[in-house]
Amino acid sequence: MRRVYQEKTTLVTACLLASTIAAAPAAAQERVEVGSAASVAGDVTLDNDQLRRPVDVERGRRIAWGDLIRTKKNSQMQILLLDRSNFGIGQRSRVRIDRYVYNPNEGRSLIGSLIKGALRFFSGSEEGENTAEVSTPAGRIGIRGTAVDMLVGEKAEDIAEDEDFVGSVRSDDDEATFVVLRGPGPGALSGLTPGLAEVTGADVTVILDEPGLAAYIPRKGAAPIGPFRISNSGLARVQDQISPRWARSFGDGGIPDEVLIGTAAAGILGVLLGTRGDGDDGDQTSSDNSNNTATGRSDRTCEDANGNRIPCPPIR
Amino acid sequence: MSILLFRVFVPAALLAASAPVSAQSFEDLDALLERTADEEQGIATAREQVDRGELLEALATLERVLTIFPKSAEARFNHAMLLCWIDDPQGGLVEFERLDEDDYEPGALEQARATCSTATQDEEE
Repeated sequence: MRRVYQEKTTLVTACLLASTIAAAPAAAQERVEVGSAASVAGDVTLDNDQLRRPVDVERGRRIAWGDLIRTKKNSQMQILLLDRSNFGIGQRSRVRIDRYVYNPNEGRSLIGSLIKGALRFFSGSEEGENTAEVSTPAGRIGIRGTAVDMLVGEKAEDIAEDEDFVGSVRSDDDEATFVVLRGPGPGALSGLTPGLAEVTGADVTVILDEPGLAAYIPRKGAAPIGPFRISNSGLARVQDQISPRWARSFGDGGIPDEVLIGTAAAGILGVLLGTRGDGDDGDQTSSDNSNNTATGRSDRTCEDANGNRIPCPPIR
Repeated sequence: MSILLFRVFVPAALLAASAPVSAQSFEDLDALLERTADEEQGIATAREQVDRGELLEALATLERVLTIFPKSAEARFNHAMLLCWIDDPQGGLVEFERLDEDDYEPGALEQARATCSTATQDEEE
């Protein structure tokens, strides 16, 4: 699986390079604009190599390759890209669009970075071949036609370690990465293609292929823990980070009891799905298991270094 | 207030799902953003996107509305319902649990919660 994934990544990179060359601006410093600030609330700034200091972001501002977006507490913004994909950036976040190439007839390639905070990605047009990849300090998330939530940092650590499936692990609160697939699922209306997210850390890839499945990378050099079904309370806390203004608008200062009640049941479901980490098991860097691919279903198989299907060994 | 707006329009979306409309220029983006700067227009735009089968884009549109109008009862309700329709009933139910019964017609939230987990299958049949 890893080999396939790497080949795909290489292909995407090659295509991006080719596209970059073909579309190279006349001046090296010219901005390659890829989208607009669709909504802005609170304290949101933008910085890049051409600016002397960060500038405030207002609705409608063009966003370009290399722009670093920062949001502060209770602040958020949404970037609408040319193919109508969306980056919903939550509070206390740092996000950058590193590369974006879009051809309405051929599709879209996107590479971004979530350095800190919360990010929700909605894919846009399904026309053509579309790829997206988001890098974090601990790993990377490959996204195919989906809605996916991603957290990096202290909140990722807090939320993940409150999940029974994850428990207490050695995490780095600057690098911890938490990912939840939101949809579309196979039962979605309108014939939407079911979404899929590949969460990779330390050369181990976990596949999220059902809404509500999550994975956690506790630190750089650690393998993802999961997939597991996120609890209702965990999901509500993720939502609060991505949409702080929406969360605060309820004025109740917390998650209602009805949401918390579902936590235990979801935790039990999580035990039935995929792999889990215990204690310090996040370091899956040995060659013995570097090609493991864990999935949300027990009948999936992994692939060895030669691409042959083999039973998935347990990750301990 | 037509809080069950999308439930009425989803069957139409199923028929029209083969005709997506994609932005190809900044002019297209600007026009879309203009329509979503206002609560009522934003919700109407999301409804049009549902009609075209663009459920993820409709969700994003409602999130733009909720960024500016976070207390919009109609946007809150329809956002939760759209999560159900993309087959994320857990996400939809988590959001429905936060809504206030007093903001909606009697029984509306109860009905929405009851149908959320089965909404996709019902519409497909």
